[in-house]
Amino acid sequence: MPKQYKDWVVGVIFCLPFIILFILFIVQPLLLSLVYAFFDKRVGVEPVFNGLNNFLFALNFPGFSYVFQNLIIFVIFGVNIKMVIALFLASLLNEEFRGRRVFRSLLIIPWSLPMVPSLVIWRWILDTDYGFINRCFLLLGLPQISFLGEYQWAISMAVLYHIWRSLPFYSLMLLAGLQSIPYSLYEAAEIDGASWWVKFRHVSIPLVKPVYVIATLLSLIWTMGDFTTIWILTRGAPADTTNVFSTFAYKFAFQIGNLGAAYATFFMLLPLVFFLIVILLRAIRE
Amino acid sequence: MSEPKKVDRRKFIYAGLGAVALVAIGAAAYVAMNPPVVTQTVTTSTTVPTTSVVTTTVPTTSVVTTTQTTSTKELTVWWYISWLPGEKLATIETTRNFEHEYGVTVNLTFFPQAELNTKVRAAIEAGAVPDIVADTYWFNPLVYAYRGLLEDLSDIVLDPKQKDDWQPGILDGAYWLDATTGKRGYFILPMMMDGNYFHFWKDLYAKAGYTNPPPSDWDGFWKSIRDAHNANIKDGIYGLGIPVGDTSPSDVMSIFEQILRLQGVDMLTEDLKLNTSDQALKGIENTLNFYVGLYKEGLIPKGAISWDDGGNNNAFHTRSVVATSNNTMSIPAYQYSESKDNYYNKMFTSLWPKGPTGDDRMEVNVRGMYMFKASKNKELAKEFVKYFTKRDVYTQWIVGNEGRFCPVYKSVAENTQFFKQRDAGKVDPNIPVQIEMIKNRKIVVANMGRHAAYAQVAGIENIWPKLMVKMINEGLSAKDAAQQAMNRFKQAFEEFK
Repeated sequence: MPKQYKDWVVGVIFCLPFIILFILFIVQPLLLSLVYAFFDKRVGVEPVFNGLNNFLFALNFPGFSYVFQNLIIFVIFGVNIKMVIALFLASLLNEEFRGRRVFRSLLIIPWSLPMVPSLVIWRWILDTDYGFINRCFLLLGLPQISFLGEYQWAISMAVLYHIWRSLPFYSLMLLAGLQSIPYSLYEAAEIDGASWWVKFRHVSIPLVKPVYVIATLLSLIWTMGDFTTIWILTRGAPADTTNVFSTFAYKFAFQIGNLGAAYATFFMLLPLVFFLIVILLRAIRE
Repeated sequence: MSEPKKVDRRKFIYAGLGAVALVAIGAAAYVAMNPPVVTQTVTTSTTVPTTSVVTTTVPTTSVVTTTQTTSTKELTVWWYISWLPGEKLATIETTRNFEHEYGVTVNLTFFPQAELNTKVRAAIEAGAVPDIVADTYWFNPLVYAYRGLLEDLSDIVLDPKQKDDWQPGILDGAYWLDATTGKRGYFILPMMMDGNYFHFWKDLYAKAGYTNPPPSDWDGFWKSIRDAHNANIKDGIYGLGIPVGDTSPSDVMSIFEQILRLQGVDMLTEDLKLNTSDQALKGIENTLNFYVGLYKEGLIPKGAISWDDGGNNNAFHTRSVVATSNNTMSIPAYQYSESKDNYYNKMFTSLWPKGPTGDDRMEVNVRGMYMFKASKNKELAKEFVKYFTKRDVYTQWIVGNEGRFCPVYKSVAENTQFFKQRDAGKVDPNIPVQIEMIKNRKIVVANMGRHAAYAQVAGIENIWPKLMVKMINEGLSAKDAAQQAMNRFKQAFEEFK
């Protein structure tokens, strides 16, 4: 066998396990769900083509309009606020100060906690009748707040949890980016009399920008697909207002029993995620 | 330091293939040294006893280990998990007895109810259903039956030996339509019957001057709740603890449907059509107004809007409320396990009052076992289902449930001491209320257990609490909410024609 064929065969053999798994677990379900998005597919019933009806069913379902609103809230407030705070935290941790190591270790705690137990603890803290916060309010003579029973509060708490939970990861990511900036640049700025803010504005930000962009895109993609936060914290309540795409897709599939609508919901989000992935890959390449 | 040795590609491939070969040889050797144990019954290995009369001496002596090529009969059973340990143990014990009697293996798996729903749906889609499922969400199997997925159990349910022993009216909750054949049949074996009960803390209720039993008329009953609330709220104790929001998957709907019924509303006609009359619409509106009114009035803790199904239980156990309503006897069952003094001396159970116009109907839900048409062991699965209808087996099982559910057989309810007096020499203020309900009130099966469309909207989609939350949070009027509900019901009834 000629050498170039040999190389090709060996290459294919090495890649084959991955290719098989990729087709089996990524391509096949993706294509199947794309097909089913256009079929009336109920649990246990043969699929029947129904065009765009699943998309219409989902869009007209009570409370579904909130998923778009919640996506925007999560992206604008959840991702952006988190990234800005993460950048400042990273800059702070990049400075020399007493107790820096302890502070860095403490920072990691929310991220290192398993997600479900930490959400259950949050539920407990936020409980209207027995929660820590409302108990404090009661002692201070303040009115109770139904943190998980009113839309504005419930979605705010979900965003707050999201920030609390993932802030450490992005802070560390940006810290790594900041630490790769040559110290000589800061020294040069200091010689020119630059303050902390000037160094941050004109040295740190421009040089950490590529890491910041990649981290933001990653955060966007992960946030859009997040299921656990909403499912454990609110289950989409009150009245299906705090749902996101993933929780609504789950409800359609496993509660309502309409798999076609679940796939349609998923495919409403997919183009956006795909677009973000393309940008992310381009950003990484650049 | 010397440079690390480069691995030759050819050697790498050979090493990889060698490793795979070694694993394969190892696996083959393991299988050869540990042949699968095959059991054989004395009768025959492939047939199952077709009658339920099987002597108990057969299993203990008949199961032998053999290497003959006969298949072991195995059943896969999925069961809801209860937080009451007795329920789980009763099921395990009954299943083990069945295994011994029939010389078979039952793979019994317990799932939390919400997970069971998901697992069953995934199993249906994957085409690998369990043989039997025991479910406490009665509205799911109703939809499966409609879609033609369930096996008709009419021959077991209508067996002459037990046909007349069922509690009055409860078979309505098992008589469902298979839309693929257009026939109705009994697709579930009723095993548990619930109801709607009120539980009170005696001392807190007494602060307002009330004792057991509470007033049985509508206005008098709710006045007593308000009085009890006013007498206790200064201590932070509310008059009533019932869930209001859609994080409660079953309690709100049961309470709502009970109130709707007591308002004199029948959402289904006798021929199981949707009642779209103005009277029904007005009844929904009144019920929504009444339920939300209790919350807005402040009789219910503010957090009830985000309680799950355990929320009202917790509120009662922590004495944060004077009274609560529940559709099973799980609250007394818990108190019995925690404190017999509480159970016998400090709390009591009552039925819902009669409606404003004297309507005394009590809604019950029927829960039980069902099997799929696609079951791989239909005969054996049916034997398993039948096994639970033997009165001695059933009695042992239902008593093991610690009184959470009412027996589905008249004979068991009447002849079992447990349901009259749990402990000798003590007056039981809780469990016998179930029997009182059957004797003194008209029993009707909840609509969610009768029609797939109703089950879909009221049960699976949980429409009532969602509308109530909108009324509370968004100021939706009861009239508009009622209209929204009616529209959704109409749509679903079209879909489930």
